[in-house]
Amino acid sequence: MQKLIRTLTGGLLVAALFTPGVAVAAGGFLPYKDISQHWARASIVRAVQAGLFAAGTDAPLFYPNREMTRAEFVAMIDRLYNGGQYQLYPLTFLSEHAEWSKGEGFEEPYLPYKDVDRLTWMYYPTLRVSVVLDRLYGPNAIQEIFPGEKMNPNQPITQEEAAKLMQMFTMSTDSEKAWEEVKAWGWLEGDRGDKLKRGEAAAAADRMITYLVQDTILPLLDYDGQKFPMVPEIEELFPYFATYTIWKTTEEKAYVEAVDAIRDHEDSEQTYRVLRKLLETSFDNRIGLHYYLSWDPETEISANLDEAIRAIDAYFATKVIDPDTLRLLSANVYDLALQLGASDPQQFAKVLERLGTYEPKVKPESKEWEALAIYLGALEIRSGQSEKAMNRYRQFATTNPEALLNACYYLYQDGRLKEAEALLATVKPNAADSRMVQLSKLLKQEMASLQEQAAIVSDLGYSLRRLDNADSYQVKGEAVLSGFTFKYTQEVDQRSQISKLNGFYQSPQKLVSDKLAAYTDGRKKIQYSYDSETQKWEQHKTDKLDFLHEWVNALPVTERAKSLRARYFKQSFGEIDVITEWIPGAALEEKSASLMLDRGKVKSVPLFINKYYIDRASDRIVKHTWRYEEMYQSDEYVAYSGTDQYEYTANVKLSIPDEVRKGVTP
Amino acid sequence: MKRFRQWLAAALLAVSVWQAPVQAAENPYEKTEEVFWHVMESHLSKPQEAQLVKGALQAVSEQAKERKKLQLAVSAEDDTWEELVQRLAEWQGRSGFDASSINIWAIDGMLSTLDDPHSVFFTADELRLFQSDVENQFVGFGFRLRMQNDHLIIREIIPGSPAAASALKRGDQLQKINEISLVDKTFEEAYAYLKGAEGTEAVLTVYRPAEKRELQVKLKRAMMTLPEAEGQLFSDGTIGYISLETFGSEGALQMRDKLQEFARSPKPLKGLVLDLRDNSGGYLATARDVASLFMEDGLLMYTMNRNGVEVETWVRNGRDIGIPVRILVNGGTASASELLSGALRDHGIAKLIGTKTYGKGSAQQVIPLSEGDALKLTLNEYFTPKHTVVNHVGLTPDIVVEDYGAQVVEALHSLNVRQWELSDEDGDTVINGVPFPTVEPLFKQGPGGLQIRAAILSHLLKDPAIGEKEYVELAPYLQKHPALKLQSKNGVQVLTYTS
Repeated sequence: MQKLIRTLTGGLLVAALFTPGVAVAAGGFLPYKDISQHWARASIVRAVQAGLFAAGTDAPLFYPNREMTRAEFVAMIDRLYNGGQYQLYPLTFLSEHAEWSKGEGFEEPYLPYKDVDRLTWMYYPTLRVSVVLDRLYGPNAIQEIFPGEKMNPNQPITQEEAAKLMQMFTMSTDSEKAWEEVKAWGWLEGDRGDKLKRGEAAAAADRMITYLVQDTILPLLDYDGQKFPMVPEIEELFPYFATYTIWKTTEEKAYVEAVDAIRDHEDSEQTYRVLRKLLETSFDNRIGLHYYLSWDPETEISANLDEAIRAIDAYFATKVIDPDTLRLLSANVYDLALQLGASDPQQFAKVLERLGTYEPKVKPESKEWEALAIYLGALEIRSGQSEKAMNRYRQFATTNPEALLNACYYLYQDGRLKEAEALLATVKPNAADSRMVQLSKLLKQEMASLQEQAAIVSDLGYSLRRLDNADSYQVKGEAVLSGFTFKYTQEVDQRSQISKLNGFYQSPQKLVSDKLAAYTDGRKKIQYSYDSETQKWEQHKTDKLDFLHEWVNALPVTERAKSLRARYFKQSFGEIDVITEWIPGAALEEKSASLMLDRGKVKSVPLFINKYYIDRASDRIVKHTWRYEEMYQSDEYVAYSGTDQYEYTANVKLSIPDEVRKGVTP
Repeated sequence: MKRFRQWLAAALLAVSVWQAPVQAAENPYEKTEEVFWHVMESHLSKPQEAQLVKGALQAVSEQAKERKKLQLAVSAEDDTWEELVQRLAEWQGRSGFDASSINIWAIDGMLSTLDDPHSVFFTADELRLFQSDVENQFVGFGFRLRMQNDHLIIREIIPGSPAAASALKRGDQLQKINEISLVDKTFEEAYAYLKGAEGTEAVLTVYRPAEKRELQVKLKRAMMTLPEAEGQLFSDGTIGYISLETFGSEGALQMRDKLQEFARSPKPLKGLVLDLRDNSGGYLATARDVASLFMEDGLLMYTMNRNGVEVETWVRNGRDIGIPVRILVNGGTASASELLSGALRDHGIAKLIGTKTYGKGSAQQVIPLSEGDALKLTLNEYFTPKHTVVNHVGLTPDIVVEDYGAQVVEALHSLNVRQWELSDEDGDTVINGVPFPTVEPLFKQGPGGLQIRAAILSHLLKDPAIGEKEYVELAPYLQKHPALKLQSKNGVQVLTYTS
């Protein structure tokens, strides 16, 4: 029954990531000897629990009033990123390997400083932060924060420098506004030039943890098609639905043991046999019995659904109003609907009808109604009744985060951004409701970015056309395609439409790399490639498309935005404008249906992300990073990721040598 | 670059060729087959199938002749893997050898055709031994011996070892292990008796000359990790000495710590002697980290594989050492040691002093095989940043000096050391406060009075006329060079000199 857990995305995971590593502090025990009187004491304890600071016999003191060094703060940001990295994943899409700072191909990244040595404690934390900043904002982005050839890691960090690092979590669109943004979130309290004290850093970290465990930074971005319709996070999946004392009857004891077994993944056929037996007795926890019988892995899902519905019947039979319980029971029904609907989408409407029969039994717009309505809305979306769902969500959008998110998302999907904004304007969260405060702020920020889509498309289109119109350029890149790693230099002469490629590649099944050499004749649509096994040049026609991404990348940006529903986000950092492009898998599947690709028909596209780095002064693309995942009908799974860096300075004149053209051994 | 299709197809094809034979079930020569395919696929020399097949058959045939006086003729016709398997099966039937022996012989036979002593098959036990060697781990009692005047003398007791916890002391003479006398045994013979598996016990009998008595101790052999980097400052406090014994996983960090320790000394450091003599190498990653202690960034090496792909390895985010460095090298300086020496020399950071290095300019990878066995296989040749070939050639030092002690003297000379103090101590030659475990002592009593190692004196006085042969009488030189003095400190002869 891990399926249910899987569908409850988001918050649950984050909560787990920030679970205390050290179980101190719980009973008032402090991790350091010098913080008991300090104003940031609670924050320091929380940050230690989140693994941001080392504590223990080797670190008895925290020195909360000392100035924090640049290296210490960078290391703290590294750990914070590590805990909340999935938040930034849609913008970094860094593989795990790169997060350990080893690079994603052959090249290992390194720091642009002379005074941070590789054999020091600060090296890897600083390098990891630098890699993340490079990915987010372009080459050597860390030098926007600490300029020059020295980082002076042991110098105290100023509040403004700290803000520039913290900015990565704010979704700020402009590095110039880092200070204002971070202040607006309330993470820092001093002035720009103030030296940051260690206690203040802990307080800032504490606020950022609170921020990161809530909604994702771009709340309406659904880069992998898994997020919407959104349903609430369930905190307790395995309640007893009743309170039992130490003194239990035989029946109570049997029931509690069965629930414990299911919770601990130790359930067997016997567990469910016991529950079924209890049904025949007068044991009165009927909600629990039916709910846990719906978890029986041996029975059909439709039978599990029947049990899940019976649990709701039992709930109403008790006549006790308990929104949390009804939410869990509805979540259970919804989860089973997802499983049924995966193979037969008709099932969503059927489950919706069954669950809908309970709506009249709850008081309209009560908490109990909300618990049910959020799942009714999700089922309406899944069965194609999005208008109905939108209206439902709007009814409680001002107080319920998921309803607000869903309402905004489906209005935006429907091209009704104005209505979404109007809805958002009516949200006046209570200051104590930190989630709604944060969410409405993030949503307003995101609405502004959505308004910008046409302008971003035009900017990106312009830079891409400049690349196409350059007489010649050079590309240095690294890529991983289905486990094969490539490193290459490509020269492109657009006047003759000839390109030349040199480099090497490594097969995952081999221990030694092999040479890569090719010429492409764009006019004749022929590629000549060197086969090092036979030591001969071979030719191949290039007039047919092989992979889906080749087709997408040949489309103009306006087309990608319009027919592929691509979403864009632009951020300015120093000299660089960074444009991230997400293309939804559903649109790619739909539009590629008529394509004749050599790989076969596209079955699904779990991920399709591009990131373009544009030099603002010249409007030229300097770097392009991508990650695509494509599934074909043959069940072939193609993962393709890489980074290309562009050079426009070299004037390349290319022709294809005769010995290559004639296909002879060079 | 959007079109990798052709390489992908070609590479996938190659993969299926590789996998097919391995999947053949119940092959008695599976181990031979694993090695065969790895060597065919990856070895730097791109060997031919026929060559490996012949080598395997030749080796098995020789074993049959030697062990059972059986003539198994190697046929010129047998030159494919399939034929090899058939022939091995036939020979196994005729000779009655078991398959695992045949596998070992066939593998050794194949590898012997590569003309590459560094491509080696390891059983699981041998692999463990190899790895512990790189990490400077040993199983033993925890003392180091030297042979002096035909006595086996405990030269050093390793802290934290079983020996350290016993009554044994430095200077004890080893007499017996259990009931076996070690007197009049060679060093190698004695070593063979002393070694044993981890956890086994033995009773050692030693003679303690200072107390004129014999004592017995019972010791258990244990696994110990020795430091990879050791060192100290020479007595004037401005020149550092670090000996790196291996490039294991701790080498670079220990070396960093040594350098930091030197930096904390009151006088600023003016030079460093890095001793890589008899350091046979280790991990490339460690060599790169060690290099980062000498240079801020720069090319460490080029590697070239069988497909002609040349890759650069760079040192990044290091730190310039900022003082002259002398690296001591000899014929036992190999692999990662040569790589580091070559790179630091090419970048003008270090000078090499000693004798020509081993000449192992190739890099190996340890490939796991079934049942915990492994194959150490040469995949790459490497070149120094100036594209100097190391393999089979070795690096010729900037200053060639044969004698072990004289190499140190020459290194210090080139770092402008003026004050000298040399002596013998517990079988080591002590040069300006740093002991070097030399085979021959500095001084020796001769018929005409005290004699001294000729080579050391020759290099100390910069007088080639003294020659490098054995010992010369000291007295004439004391007369000739007023700055050369012999003193006795606490009963130890100390030679001092100001150059």
